[in-house]
Amino acid sequence: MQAVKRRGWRRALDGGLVLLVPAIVLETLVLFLPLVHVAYRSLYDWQPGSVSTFIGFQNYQHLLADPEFWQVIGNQLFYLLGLPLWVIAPLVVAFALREGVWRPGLFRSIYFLPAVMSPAIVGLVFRTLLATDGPVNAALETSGLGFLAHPWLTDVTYVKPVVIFLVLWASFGTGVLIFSAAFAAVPQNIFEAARLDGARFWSEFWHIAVPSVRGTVFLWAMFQLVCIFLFMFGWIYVLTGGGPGLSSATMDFFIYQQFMRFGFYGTAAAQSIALVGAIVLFPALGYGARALIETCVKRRRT
Amino acid sequence: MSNLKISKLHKHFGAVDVLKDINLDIRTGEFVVFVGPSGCGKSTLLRCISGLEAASSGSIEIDGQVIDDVEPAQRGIAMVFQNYALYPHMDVFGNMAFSLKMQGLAKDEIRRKVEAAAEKLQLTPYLDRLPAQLSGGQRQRVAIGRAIVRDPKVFLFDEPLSNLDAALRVRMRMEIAQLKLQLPNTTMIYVTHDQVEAMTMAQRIVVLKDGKVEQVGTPLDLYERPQSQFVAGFIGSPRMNFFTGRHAETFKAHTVGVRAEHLDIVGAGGVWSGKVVYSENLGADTFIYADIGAEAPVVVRQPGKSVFAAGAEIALVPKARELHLFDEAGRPVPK
Amino acid sequence: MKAGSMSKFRTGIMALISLAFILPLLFLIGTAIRTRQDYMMSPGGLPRSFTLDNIVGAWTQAGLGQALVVSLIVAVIACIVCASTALAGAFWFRIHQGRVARGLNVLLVASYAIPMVAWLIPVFVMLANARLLNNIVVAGIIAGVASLPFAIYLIHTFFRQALTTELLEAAALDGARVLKVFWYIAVPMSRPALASVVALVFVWTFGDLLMAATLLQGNPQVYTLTLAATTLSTREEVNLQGQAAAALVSLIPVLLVFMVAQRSLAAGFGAGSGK
Ligand SMILES: Nc1ncnc2c1ncn2[C@@H]1O[C@H](COP(=O)(O)OP(=O)(O)O)[C@@H](O)[C@H]1O
Ligand SMILES: [Mg+2]
Repeated sequence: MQAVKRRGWRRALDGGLVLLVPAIVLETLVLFLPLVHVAYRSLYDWQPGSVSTFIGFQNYQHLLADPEFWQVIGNQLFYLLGLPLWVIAPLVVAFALREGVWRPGLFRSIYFLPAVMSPAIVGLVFRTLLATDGPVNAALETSGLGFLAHPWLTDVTYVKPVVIFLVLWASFGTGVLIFSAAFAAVPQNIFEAARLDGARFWSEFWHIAVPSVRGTVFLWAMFQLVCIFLFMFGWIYVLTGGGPGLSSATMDFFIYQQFMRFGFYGTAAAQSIALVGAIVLFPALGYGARALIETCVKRRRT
Repeated sequence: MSNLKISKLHKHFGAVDVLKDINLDIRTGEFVVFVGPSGCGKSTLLRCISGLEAASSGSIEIDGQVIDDVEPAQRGIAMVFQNYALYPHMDVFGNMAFSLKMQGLAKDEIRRKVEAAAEKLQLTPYLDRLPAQLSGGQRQRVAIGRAIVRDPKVFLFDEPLSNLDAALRVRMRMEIAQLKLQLPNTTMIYVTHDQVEAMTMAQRIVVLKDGKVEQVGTPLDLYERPQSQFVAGFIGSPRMNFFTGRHAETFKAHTVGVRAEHLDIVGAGGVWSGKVVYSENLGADTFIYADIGAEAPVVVRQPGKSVFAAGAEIALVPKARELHLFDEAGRPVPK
Repeated sequence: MKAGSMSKFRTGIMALISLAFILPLLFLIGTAIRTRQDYMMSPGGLPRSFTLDNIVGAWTQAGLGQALVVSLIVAVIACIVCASTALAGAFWFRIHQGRVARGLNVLLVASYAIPMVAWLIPVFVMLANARLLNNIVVAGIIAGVASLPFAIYLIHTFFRQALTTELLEAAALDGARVLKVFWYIAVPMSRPALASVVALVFVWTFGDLLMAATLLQGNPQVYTLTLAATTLSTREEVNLQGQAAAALVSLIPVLLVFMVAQRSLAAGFGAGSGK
């Protein structure tokens, strides 16, 4: 091919790099360089303000030998068990909302409330509500359901499921909104045809609704996956402080603690890089799983 | 004197040749229609003229000046897009004024020009409306108005009516023809895949096929003297009947073509004979489809409400002077 | 669609679900406006008293008024930085689609997945060295950049649909160059996308704890509302009513934004879900 000259309308609209420069500069300064710096520093016995010595992969070795690190990884994996719940609950509700409900918009708005509220502030409210002598348990006692009262946030058995439900509470409305948008894009007559064929709510849901928005379902699942690794700090910090012990700590909370509270900069850096690895690994696994499922489905069809 | 001259124009996208050796001379003030099937390169040719697309080789001149390296906005051309491409956030005035504003004209001059154009297109009452508040036909007129205010030497239309319903399309066709009368010195190039539009609007038609100019001529030229089987089949409605094999051998040609209106129905002893398959009564005309043993049924046009029952025997005689003979390559054979 | 008998049943279920979202809010309000004695008597019951002392107390004691101003400044700076930068960048990506441009686009958007703690540590150290910690302007800029990847994605998605190639060609024919197309066409056109970006960035920045706790923790004078409310509540001596009042005060601005910008927020979340 001859030398590509940029001509035509694109030539008339060429240039303007000045428009992109701020985005590049800001992201480089605030996101990329610091990340590179962290990767580099994770190989040092990092002591800000004093001499740091190069120690190779020792920070990582410490990390791998640290039972607390593995406990936090375990917590993260446990939280992933919530994934089906976080996906299916808003999906079902979004579907029900489009199937003839009084004022669906109102309900969508109510469910969406948590999306605008600070996780930290909402965490405060739930910490109070769920305290051992808090209103939830008190209400359970007075209504004769005392056997259901538990130390929700201070018992190793209950704290992680509670967090899973609170994540559901927080993300539910956004999920409903996104799935509603996806359903709105599906041609109405598909559902009408199904109903004429006698499909009931659940069969319509599984056989028509879910397949027709499966791209969105997958995206939402990936989004939730990333969120559970990235955006839990506010919740955990206020709700449980990572406790009891470290039994509800997430990676981001753990790293923050290592670094701001204990001043273990080197280990915190190594953990950060491990977290980046997890962020790459898990969605990649997700995509791999999807590819696998799709080939299986195709093979079964042929 | 020639206004727009295209010489040896080639255009390829990657390995795909889209335009091959286009040579055209278009006179000042002429209304030329590019017609051809979808994907034949009409839009690409138009976009090369406008400068939105750069030609791979060859050159384009306007008024004797080569414009290959001139920016689209400086070529003295204006274009009306298929989807109008109106700026959705600007009102009608803003849309029409934008190019003048970019030229840096004074405010009152812009106002004067826009108002004059709006007057011409009956858009004056709508100047402060947004495109979303206009009907399809009004949007189309704004798109034309936006082009008019620039007072272009060459006016380009790319399938401007394809988004309108049938009735509006006919009306806009007339409005564009009127506009042409008001702008006698403006060259207009109009792209369409609809041969009826081409036949009704053009002074000259350029038929394109697979990126090549198949034939250039007046509508009547193309209708009466098609230079290829492709043009013969493309121009005219209903489509010309073509026969090969034994039907054509009679005339010592590979293919013989005859239009529906050039076939006479005779009582007996016709050149071809067969059975009526089906007949369509359109009021003024009747189209009769008859099976005479060729690949496809032959269409015959009869005036008025002639009645032919399906299955009736029929004999046909073509008007000898109106027969079109073609060789294997689709080129005309001298009679 | 026919609203059948199922509709009532489903509406009932939807209403039950909404209790899960309304009750915590009601509880918060109830706790903030009742007296301590009343709460101690029955934490799970309805309030039997009314007082504004808790809210007034929280306001004066924890300096929530000042924190509110700080939060607003930080959030507004973040919105301006993020929206303007993302708008310009997304527009550039719309008109440049070469391999390099596409690579850059992926890079700038995928940085969404860089964990905040991972980049916040060195930023903290850098700012500490430059003596720029506890600076609300710097914190605002950094909060804006934190939302930049998402904003670029969202606005670019919008431009890909709304700023069609035909429109760009029309602009080129009209004689507009890049910056003019940006200023006269892309910017005014992007109002809906911009509204959702601004609403989202505002809400996120306003509710953020991690950045505030890292970059502004050294000086109570520059605490954001979230930071002030949470530190207030982590101090043992402060009573529950005070916490609730602080939490309530800190939620009011976002609830206002929510009511005003609900539509564009919804659109913003919906926009990313195409296909
Ligand atoms: N930007 C492009 N890149 C690659 N191929 C193109 C491009 N534009 C047009 N083509 C191809 O060039 C051919 C002619 O297109 P076009 O000029 O739009 O046809 P028409 O307007 O006659 O329908 C088509 O086969 C089309 O696929
Ligand atoms: Mg075309």
